[in-house]
Parts: sequence; C-alpha cells; structure tokens
Amino acid sequence: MAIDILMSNEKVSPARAVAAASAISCAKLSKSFGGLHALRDVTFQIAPGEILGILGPNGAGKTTFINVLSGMLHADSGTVHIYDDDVSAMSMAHRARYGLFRTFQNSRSSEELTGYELLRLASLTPNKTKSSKTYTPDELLEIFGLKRFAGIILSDLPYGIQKMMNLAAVALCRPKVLLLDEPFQGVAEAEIERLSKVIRHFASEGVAVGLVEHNVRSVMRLCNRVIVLDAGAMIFEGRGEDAVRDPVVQTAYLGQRFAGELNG
Amino acid sequence: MVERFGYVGWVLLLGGLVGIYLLNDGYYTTVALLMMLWAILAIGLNFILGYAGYFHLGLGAFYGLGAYGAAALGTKYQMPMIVALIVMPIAGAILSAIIGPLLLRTRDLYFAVATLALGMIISDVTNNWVSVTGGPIGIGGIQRPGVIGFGAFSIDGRTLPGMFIIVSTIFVALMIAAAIARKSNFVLILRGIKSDDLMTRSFGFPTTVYKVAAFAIAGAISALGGVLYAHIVQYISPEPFTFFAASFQAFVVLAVGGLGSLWGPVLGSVLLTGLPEFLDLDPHMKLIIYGAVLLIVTLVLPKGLASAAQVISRRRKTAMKEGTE
Ligand SMILES: Nc1ncnc2c1ncn2[C@@H]1O[C@H](COP(=O)(O)OP(=O)(O)OP(=O)(O)O)[C@@H](O)[C@H]1O
Ligand SMILES: [Mg+2]
Repeated sequence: MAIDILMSNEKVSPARAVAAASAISCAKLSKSFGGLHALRDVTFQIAPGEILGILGPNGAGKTTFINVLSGMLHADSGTVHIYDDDVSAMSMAHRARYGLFRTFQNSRSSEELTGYELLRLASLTPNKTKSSKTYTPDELLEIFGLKRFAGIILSDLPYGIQKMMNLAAVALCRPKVLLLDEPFQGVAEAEIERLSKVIRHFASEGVAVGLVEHNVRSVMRLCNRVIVLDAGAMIFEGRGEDAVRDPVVQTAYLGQRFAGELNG
Repeated sequence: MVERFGYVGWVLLLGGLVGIYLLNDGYYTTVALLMMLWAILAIGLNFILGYAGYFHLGLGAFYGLGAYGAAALGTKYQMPMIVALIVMPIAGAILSAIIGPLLLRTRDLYFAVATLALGMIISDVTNNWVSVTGGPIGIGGIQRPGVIGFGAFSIDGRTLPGMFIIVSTIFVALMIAAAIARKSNFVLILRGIKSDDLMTRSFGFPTTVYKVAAFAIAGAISALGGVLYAHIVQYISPEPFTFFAASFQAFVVLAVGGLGSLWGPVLGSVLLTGLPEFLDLDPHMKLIIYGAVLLIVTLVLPKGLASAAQVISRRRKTAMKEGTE
C-alpha cells in the first residue's frame, strides 16, 4: 500500500508537487556557520505519504538540513512551508504545532524518564493538526515491540532500544511530517526490519517522511526518491538506483562506504 | 517510591501535627513550625530544581521578599496576615516571571551563579536600604492574626498553638497541591526538560515558558514561607535570608530528602531541622552537620531519603533471589 503511494509521487515534478500540496517544502534554504556553508540554496519537497531518502557523505550537511527544516536552527535565507503554512520564522516548538517532528542523530539517554513516561510526554504534544489516527502510548509500545522496556529508565536501555523509543515518541506526536536523522544507526538488524515496517506504516497513513540514513540498503528499500547532499548543496534528486550510477554522486562519495557498498 | 510510602506518609504527617498540637509544648511546637518552614522552601525548590533540573541558589531572595513584604504590610499599613499571604506569593511569582526569562537563558553553572547573585543583591538591599528594611536592625512588632472563627471552633492566632494550626493548615494544603502537581502533565513536561530540553522542544513544548512557570512557582512558595516566617517570629532581620541561612539550607534539605520526590522535602526537613535543634547545635556546627549529612546521603542514597524504601526493598529482593538460587 505504501509502495503505491510512493509510485504515484515518483514522477511528479518539483514545481507541480509544490502546487499539489507537498507536505513539506523549502525554497533556497541556506545556512552557514561562520565561513562554512553547511547548506546552500536547497530546494525540495516531500509529498504526503512519501518517504524521501536524504543521502550524503559525512559532513555533507544532512543534520544541518534537518535542524534548519525543523526550526532548531534558523536559516540564513530561504523559506519552509508545511502544507500551505509558511513556518520559516517559527521556532522548533512552534513548527511542531503544524505537525512537523524530528528525531535526533545522537540518541539522548535520560536518567529522568522511563520509556513509558517519554511516550506519555510525547502524547501531550500541542500539535494542533488533525490526524486520521491517534495512538495511545500502549498501542505504540505494541507496534514497536517495546512493551517490556516501557518501565525502565531510558539511560539503562541499550542504545538501539533508546533510538526506537525516541522514534515511537515522535510517532505519538501525530506527525504530518517526520524528519528522521539516522534512525537505524546502532539498531540491531532484526529491529531495522521492524522499524522499516513502522515507517512504511506511517507513510501509508499520509505522513511525509524525510529519512537521513547511512545504511544505504535500508534507504533503497524504503525510498523511491532520494536527494543527495554534498558540501551543503543538493547534487542529485531522483530514483535511488539512478543516484548510485550518477557520476557526480560517485565523486562526492569517493572512498566512502556508500560507493563501496553499492558497487559490491 | 512515593506510591510505596503512599498513605503512610499522610497518616504520619497528620498524626505528627495533631500529636504536637496536643502535646502543647512551646519548644516542640516551635521546632515543628521551623520544620514546616524548611519543608515549604524545599517544596518550592523542588519545582525548579527537582523537576526542571535548574540549580536555583537564590531562593533566599524570595523568602526574604515574602518576609519583608509581610512585615511592611503588617507594620506600615496595618494589613492583616491574610493580605500578605495572598499578595506576597503573587509578588514572588511576578518578580520571578520578570527576571526568569533572563536567568533561564543560562544553564547549569551559569544559572546557579546568576541566582546566587540575585540572593546576594537582596541580602545587600535588606542590609542597606535602612528606611524600608530597617537595615541590620530589622523590623519588629509584626502582628499575628487575632481570633479566627466562632466559639468552640475559634483559634487565637496570637498564641503559638493558634499559629501552629494556621501554619499546619497551610502546610497540609500545600502538600496536597504538591502531590497533585507531581502527577500532573505540567510536571511531566518539566521532567522532560530536565531530561532533554531540546527533545522536549521538538515535541512542541515552548520550554522557556514552562521553566519560567516552575521558577515562578518556586518564587511564590518561597515568598509564602517568608510571610509565615515573619508572623511566627514577629521580627525580621537580614541574617535568616542570606545564602547560607536560607538558599543553601533549602537546597540541602531537598537534596537530602530527595530531588523530585513528594516526601523528600518533609523527610529532609525533619532530619535537618529537627536534629540540630534537639541537639542544640550552634550555627557553625549546624553547617558542618549539614555538609556531612549531605555528603553521606549523596554517597549512600543518591536519590535522597525518600528513595530509601525503594532501595531497601530492591536490596531485599536481590537478597531473596540470591538466597533461593
Ligand atoms: N552548530 C554548528 N556549528 C558549526 N559548524 C557546524 C554546526 N553543525 C554542523 N556544522 C558543520 O557543518 C557541516 C555539516 O555538518 P552536518 O552535521 O550537517 O553533516 P551530516 O551530513 O549530518 O554528517 P554526518 O553524516 O557525519 O552526520 C560540518 O562541516 C559540520 O562540522
Ligand atoms: Mg548528521
């Protein structure tokens, strides 16, 4: 079902996608740290129900991209829209009210909350968008297979389980747009399979997903369309299979895991 | 941990208060009043430090604000105590809401130092703004409330037992409010902030607003404590509101009792206010005892006295497991 949705979005041109209510779009988004251009004039969009892969070598600006899209960092220039709303000037907390949520690359262990408390906190989100389905913390623990970890303090949990808890937490926020920064990093292979299913499930309910991931195989399986960032600029947009063969992308990845994994 | 202590705590608290009232001994009543005062400050501190995780070391400023405000309202304007009880916590909350956004922009050590400085400024003001605060000499002649109620149900606020009933009533009400708050979504959000501010923001919570609210609650409750102090002692001077006399002690009471727990403030206060009083220690000795107790509790029970039941039951469980295996 999710795949159908992806297929139907695949050939939509950027301009038309924006017109046809993309869930999230940005135009000419730039961010620099001092002299370093971490993001240069990036324009993109994700359609409702689409899972977009965001690739790029280390330091390409993927995390910065998510930080700027989510409002954690303010862009130097450019605009961000969630559906028809211009959220460019809004803080991260404010954007969440429009249904935009994200996870963090480095899982943040907490000595304060149990898994269940984290989910309860997330379920209190002031997100004011209407979502087709609202889950309870218990339902999501079931879906993610995390029930037996619910009562444990987060920092006592294995790293991979913590990341799954964080993903379950944002899933509870009734997202319309979900930006995931390396959700599979540190997660066991068997669990990656389950997380992939969960991500597909949310996409099938119309959530637009932006997936930053170094695990190229997972990206290929989940995403029909990918963008590739390098040195802050978008160097490729299109099908995952084509990205692998693209000479510009190959040059950007020279010597890195991506090329090796894909050619082999 | 609180669930386990549960109603036993409430029975002990109410039983203790009734017992002390019936005992009708001036000394014990005074010590119990002091215990409640420290517990009140610790309850206030719990919101900003225990739940939100911000080291507020300037509680004495708000405690002093409440006390000096009460003294001014009582002696200069002849207002009854109830006015101060309403006005000063609001003043504490407003002051916090004004300076909170500035202070809470800083984190960790910076916030601690900033609040410490705030406490010092207030100490300096109480010492030097002689026309208002009476300087080092202070303000005396603060009137307690008169007779409240009718006939057999009346209490005489001018007497120590009367004052004890008033303070106990306020204290129990505050404890009930604290118990409800502890289970609230608001406190869960504060704990989310303590755990990870950025993540809590990513869930959509404007964390600064919540932090300022916690800071304001701490300020209001401390000011309430100050109002009660002024009417119990009926004389105020700068000394009791200085860093070591107020802010630091409130911190030790809470840390020893248990950060983020409901009964921690009470347990910490009973131990740290009761013990030095009954042992009749001089102030310097008291500080040394406080330091030692804080050190021991931090090492043995990092989550404070309130977690003792939990720790003991866990030890027993593991001991039993080892026994059967
Ligand atoms: N807050 C910051 N201040 C200064 N420089 C930063 C900051 N955040 C990122 N950078 C720099 O911006 C560039 C892009 O970093 P970013 O973390 O976005 O890369 P990434 O694609 O997520 O890399 P990785 O795959 O290693 O996670 C890097 O050179 C990084 O050092
Ligand atoms: Mg990154």
